[in-house]
Amino acid sequence: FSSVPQFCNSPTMIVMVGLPARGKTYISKKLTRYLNWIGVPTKMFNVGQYRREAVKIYKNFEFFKPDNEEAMRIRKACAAAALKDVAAYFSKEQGQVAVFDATNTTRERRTVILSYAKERGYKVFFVESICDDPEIIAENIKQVKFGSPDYVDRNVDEAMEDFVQRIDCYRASYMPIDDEKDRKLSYIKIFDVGSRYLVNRVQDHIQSRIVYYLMNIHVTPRSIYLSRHGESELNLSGRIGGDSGLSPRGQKYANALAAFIHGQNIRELKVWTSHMKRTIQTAEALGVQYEQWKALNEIDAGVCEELTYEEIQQNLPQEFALRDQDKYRYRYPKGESYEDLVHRLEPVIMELERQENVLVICHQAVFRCLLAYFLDKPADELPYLRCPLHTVLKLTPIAYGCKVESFFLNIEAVNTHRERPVNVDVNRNPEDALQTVPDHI
Amino acid sequence: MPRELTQNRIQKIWVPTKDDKPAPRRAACAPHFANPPTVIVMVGLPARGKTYMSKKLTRYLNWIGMPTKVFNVGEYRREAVKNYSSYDFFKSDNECAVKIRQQCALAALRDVKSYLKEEGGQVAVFDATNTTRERRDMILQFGSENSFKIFFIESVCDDPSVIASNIMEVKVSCPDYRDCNKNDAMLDFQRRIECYKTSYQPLDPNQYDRDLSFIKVIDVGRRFLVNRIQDHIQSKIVYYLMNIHVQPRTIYLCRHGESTDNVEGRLGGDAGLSPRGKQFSDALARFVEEQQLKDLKVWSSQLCRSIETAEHLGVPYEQWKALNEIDAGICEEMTYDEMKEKFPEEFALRDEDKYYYRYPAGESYQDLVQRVEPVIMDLERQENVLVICHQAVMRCLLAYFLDKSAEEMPYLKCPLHTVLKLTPVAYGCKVESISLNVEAVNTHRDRPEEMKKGPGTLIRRNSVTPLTSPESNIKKPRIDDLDESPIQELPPPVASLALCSPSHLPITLAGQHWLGKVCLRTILQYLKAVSLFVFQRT
Repeated sequence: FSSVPQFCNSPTMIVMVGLPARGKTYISKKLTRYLNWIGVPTKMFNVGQYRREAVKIYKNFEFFKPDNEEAMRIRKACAAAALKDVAAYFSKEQGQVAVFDATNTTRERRTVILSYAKERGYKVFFVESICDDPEIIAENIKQVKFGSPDYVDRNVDEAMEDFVQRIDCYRASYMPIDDEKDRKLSYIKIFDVGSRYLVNRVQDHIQSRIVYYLMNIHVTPRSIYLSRHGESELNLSGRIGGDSGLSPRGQKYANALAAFIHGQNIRELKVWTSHMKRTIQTAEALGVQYEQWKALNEIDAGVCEELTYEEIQQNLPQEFALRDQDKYRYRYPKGESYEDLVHRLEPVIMELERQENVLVICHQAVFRCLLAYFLDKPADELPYLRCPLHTVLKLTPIAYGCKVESFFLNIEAVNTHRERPVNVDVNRNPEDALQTVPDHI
Repeated sequence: MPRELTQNRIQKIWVPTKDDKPAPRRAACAPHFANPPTVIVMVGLPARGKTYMSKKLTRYLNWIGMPTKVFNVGEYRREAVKNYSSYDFFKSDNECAVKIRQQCALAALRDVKSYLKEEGGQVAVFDATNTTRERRDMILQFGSENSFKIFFIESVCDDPSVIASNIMEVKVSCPDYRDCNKNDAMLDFQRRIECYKTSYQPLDPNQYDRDLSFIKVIDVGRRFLVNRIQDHIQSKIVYYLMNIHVQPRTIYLCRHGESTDNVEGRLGGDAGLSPRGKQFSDALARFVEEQQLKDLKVWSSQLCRSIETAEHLGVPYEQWKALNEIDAGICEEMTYDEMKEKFPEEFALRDEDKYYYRYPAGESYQDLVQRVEPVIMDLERQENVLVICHQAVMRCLLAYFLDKSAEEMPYLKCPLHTVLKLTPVAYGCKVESISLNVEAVNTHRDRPEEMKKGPGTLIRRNSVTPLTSPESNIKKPRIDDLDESPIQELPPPVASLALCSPSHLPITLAGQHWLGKVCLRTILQYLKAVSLFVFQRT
């Protein structure tokens, strides 16, 4: 049996389709990040990178001319190499989803991929991005192409000109997925950055989730602010969990947060808190409407609720050690694990994707999960991400990732971050176990 | 000065002390979804599954706490025109029928407006063919005047076998054809469809309708075209529609076998099976085998008693943490008597409003609905599934399938050692309760007598409050409840007329003579009565 419901049995290949600068890599990276975060091992295979490996120096768009036979051979070989790596990822690395990021604009190329997949029992789901708005395309080129290794030695105007001609090389042979001829295939067509979608033959749960995700993401500029509640009474005494109120310093932070947010001059900010007193008290200081999400509640420490680490070591030394052995998967007795948290937070992430400017006031473990999603941190790093009290993180999507700005609001607070101790053996002595516990009253 | 916070006694939600009155929108378990109300407008030829989707969607939205109601224009027409005679009523050149139909649509819209503006409705589903641009433009105008968002759901299907099957399943037994045999009904209905075909203008995403928000469902979900989703609720509606299917299948719901905690009358916990519980699990294994299903998926929670039950089946199963029993917080593993003794106030509060009541440091039924929603979504995708869960969880799931409100949910009977077999049928769900004949304790607590009143004043009505899909305003014979035979009483036949113009004599259906003498004066008098009736509906 599995401890999480099986999303897919056969491995799935997601095959991107579209002219250059249509957001294929953007979508590939974002989707890969999301799937990995929800626990579906996913990897992206960008054929352009294989090409850059094979042909060390990019001269100009002529490489992409359809009559450039030599280049054609290289490009075909790169696609084949990428497919081979996909197979290796599935068979040897327990991958479940591979995102095949290339233009894949000809029926011929797509047929090759389909046969390859069919022979090996992989499911195939196409994601085609169609856009003819010149403004959007120009913006895409500016955001991601100028910084690409291909154009490292060129100024922006030259790069733009070359890239436009590159796109033209593909245009003549571009055959979009055909709703008639390809009616047996599974695919989603995205028109004009999400204004319209055509979805055909969703085969299974994972494809359904992918479609839902793709339909919820957008590219409108916005910022997400993440903060923990102000320092709480239980924080001061080094106790975990519980539902205590803010300490005096925590209250100060709430006021400082209000001033900070006001100073940021944010358009139509939504404020979200958990159902726990300390986040709500923090939000109250802002003097604006906020919404409470139970899903944002701190990780449930079960039998360890309101204990100090010292008490946990004393009463449940084995549990304490097991947690250090695998902090991501470890579930507190009658409580939760980080893995459970991620599952619980998924609707929050989905709604965050739909929203624009949002301030999320939450808790340490929750913060780590959300941060790991935005910054693409793997499960083993997630439980050790640093999320100090009284610090606001401002996340702004840019190019293929996320810009992070950290603002410490100058109000002292206890440190609640516990590093992984060196000794995680269940028979370790208390000193070793408590080595990394932060100071408290 | 920061505002003082108190935790409200039933839901354990922190609110500013002064703000203790039942303000509708503040402390929601999830952000409230829609501000301006939404009108979902169905579009499509007859027998394309519009009413099926309307009802199912309404049931889902109500279950997740979004007050939703269906307005079926066909029902208004049946109210206005007591006896349906034949498809001639639907001919596009039948002028007075066209008028009546127009009046019915307007009446329905008036009720939509009242529901959304005055009755606390959030979503109205306008279930009619709406096949012409003219009609849709009228609805868009109506939406714009009232600041309602409009979302179209068009069902397009040209597969004759699907259509024939739809007609057989829901049309042939509908009130219009109560005096007809199946074949005649089928024939008449097909001619009815033809009446609509000539004037049908599908939604045009490329030109005319490119700025509208809609989803086109093509060939029963094989393909979807989604245009301009505006907000969260439309996104969820689209996701839901993309996950439902119409393949015949069966869902089995049962609880784990009796546990040792059950025997002692203890709540929650993570105990294993009692000997009788094990007996039940073996009986369940035999039952499953007897059902002779192809490809049964088995789901259990992550608590010991469900897993043990599943293990006895000897087949692969999946564990869902989301199926775990409601968390009783500080009351975990107590008996009801112990709870009454240690926490008398909490005990009383729970009986006061069992749906909203959250155990201290635990959960409420309201929390459960939210937690269990992804399970429902996956159940919709699946085919044959056996869900082995727990009392409160099973009540949540059952409330979804049987369209039960928050009031009823915590008191639904889900006894141990009993399997509920749910089969989708027509517009609803057939339920069979199968006891596997292994004795067990009774864990059901009825609503205490003194508590049989409405929820307390401290209760915040907010999202995630399942509501039963409301009955339509019109008093009509209920055909949804398939256990009952359709009600037979009919208004006096002769004077009530479906057709207005004497030249449109109905075809004589086999063995039946529908219309007696047609008298023009009677027709006019009837029309006057009808129009008065329709206009008074405000």
